[in-house]
Amino acid sequence: MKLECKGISKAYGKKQALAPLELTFTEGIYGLLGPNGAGKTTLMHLLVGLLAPDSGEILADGMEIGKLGATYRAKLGFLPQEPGFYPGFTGEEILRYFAKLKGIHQPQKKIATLLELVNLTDDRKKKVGQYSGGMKRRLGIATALLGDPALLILDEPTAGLDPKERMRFRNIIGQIGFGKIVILATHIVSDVECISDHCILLKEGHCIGADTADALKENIRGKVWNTPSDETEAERYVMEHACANLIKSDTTLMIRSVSDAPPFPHSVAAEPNLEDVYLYYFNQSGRDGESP
Amino acid sequence: MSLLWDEWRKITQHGKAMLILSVAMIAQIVLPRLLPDLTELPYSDTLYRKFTAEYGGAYSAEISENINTHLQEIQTICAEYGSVQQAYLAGTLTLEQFKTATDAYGIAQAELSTMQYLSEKCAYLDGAEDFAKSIFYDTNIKRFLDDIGYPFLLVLALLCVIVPIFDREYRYGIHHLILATPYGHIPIALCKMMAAFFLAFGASLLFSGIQGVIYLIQVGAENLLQPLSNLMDYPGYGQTTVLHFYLTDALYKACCLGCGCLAVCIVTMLCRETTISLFFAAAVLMLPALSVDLFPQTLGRYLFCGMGLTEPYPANCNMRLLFVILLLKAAAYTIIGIRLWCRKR
Repeated sequence: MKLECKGISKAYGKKQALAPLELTFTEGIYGLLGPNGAGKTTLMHLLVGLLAPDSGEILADGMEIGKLGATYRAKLGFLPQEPGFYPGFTGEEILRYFAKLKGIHQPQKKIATLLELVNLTDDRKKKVGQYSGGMKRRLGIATALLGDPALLILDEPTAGLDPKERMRFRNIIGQIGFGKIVILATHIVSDVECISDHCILLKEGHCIGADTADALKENIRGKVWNTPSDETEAERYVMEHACANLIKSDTTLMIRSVSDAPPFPHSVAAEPNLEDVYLYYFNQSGRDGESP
Repeated sequence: MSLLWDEWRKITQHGKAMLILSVAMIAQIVLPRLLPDLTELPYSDTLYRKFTAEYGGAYSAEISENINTHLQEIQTICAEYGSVQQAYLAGTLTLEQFKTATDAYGIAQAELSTMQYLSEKCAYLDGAEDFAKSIFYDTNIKRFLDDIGYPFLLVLALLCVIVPIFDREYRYGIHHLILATPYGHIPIALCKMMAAFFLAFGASLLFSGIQGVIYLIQVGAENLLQPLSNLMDYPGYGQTTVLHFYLTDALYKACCLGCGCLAVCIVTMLCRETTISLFFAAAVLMLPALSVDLFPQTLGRYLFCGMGLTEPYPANCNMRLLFVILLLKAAAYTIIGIRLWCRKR
């Protein structure tokens, strides 16, 4: 499957949520990175067909998705940012309901596998109203995976999950991602770094970078600095430069910063990671969501 | 069908919908009975029962003559009582004779209004169109039919159950998940609207059924197969029997309410907010019924007041036209509802 965004843009009133975008998705896992309000959810909703672009078109295998309609949606698995479920239904009933909506016949086996995959087998008979936030999210992931979709669009899939569940989710995506297009929007950099083949950086509705994680890291090689420091110096530096992380160990304090020039004479160039890419492009702390 | 069943389960599992509807139905039936009956009959009900038994049966010239003769006798007694009094004062009547005349006058006075009513009924039947005319005790039927009004409590309860059908999806944010599935557009919208229609239709029919059963338990099935036109307040219904009229009225109201609830679905999709939806849905469902008098006997009555009349359907109501209009309205509401559900913003 091939998904192409040809000059799609979207505005809400006077606010331009998404500037004209040109993106092509082929099989692989894509991480959509950007701060809050960058246009990630708008792009996701456009790709799902919940929103109509103001300009441009989205093509799935060369056909406009609006014209494909149910055929396109049959290949689609979607997890919205805050999915809610009917509190009176059990987890299993929710999956059965969505299996019907996806036109899956005799879904029992598939549902059992998915419940096992998201670790909800023991809670399958429990009413969703009694589920925790993390359990609901896992149920959402199972819902998105119903029908083995060729295109998986996940909006903040790991928000609200504990580290163990996040690891499990990454493994799931790693397992099932082969031969599919998986697009996951998040501002948790480590999720993208662990599982994505490609990164798309969105800022204020503009795509400011789209490449493999390694290529993006390579772009900022020589711009990431580790500076051993004391507390006073670190505090002053952080006050003056938004783009900095402090790494504490038992005896030392290390300022990790991203800048074109070394911030201190004794700064040492460091191996860039995706968080540095995030810091470089978005010029802010990468810890506004959850710690990686 | 399976999706429709799921919609039904969503309605019944969430918000104790059935409890709300049951309480509303019970309250709608019980509360009016707790209010004092202020309706004054133009006759004595006891005497009316007695005379309808005496003169009852298939209406004929002989019955009419008997009633009118009886009335004339009463009127004569009443008219002559003044002179009887004068005669007694003048000493031309004995006390015994005066007592007998006074007793007769008292009886005549008591019977006068009832016999006048019966005589009016004879005149009405004489002038009425052709149907199986009959004299029978009909006060209970009249009272029962007069009490059929707009079931406000039931309508309010229905609003509380119908509004969440679409509102629930927006409130929980689950509509995005549904809309991203192959059957999440037209089929699901259709199922939701069908669920809304059948719920309102079923609730209204059930309510009418309960009312009917209570009547049967209290009064019995006597005279239900008599033509309704025998009742003076219901002229023009031809051979339509009381039972047929009630069943048609129940069906008519159920269709109107079902159609109205489709409009409620549209309001919910436009508002996407529970409180505002409830407010506007109540207006959409109730205002046409309350403004029924603005459209007397016109097409407007069919178009705008079809959502539930405050009284039984009128004799000149063209049922075919009404049901065609209801069908067209239901189809239009369904199409608009589907478009609203599937629309991209």
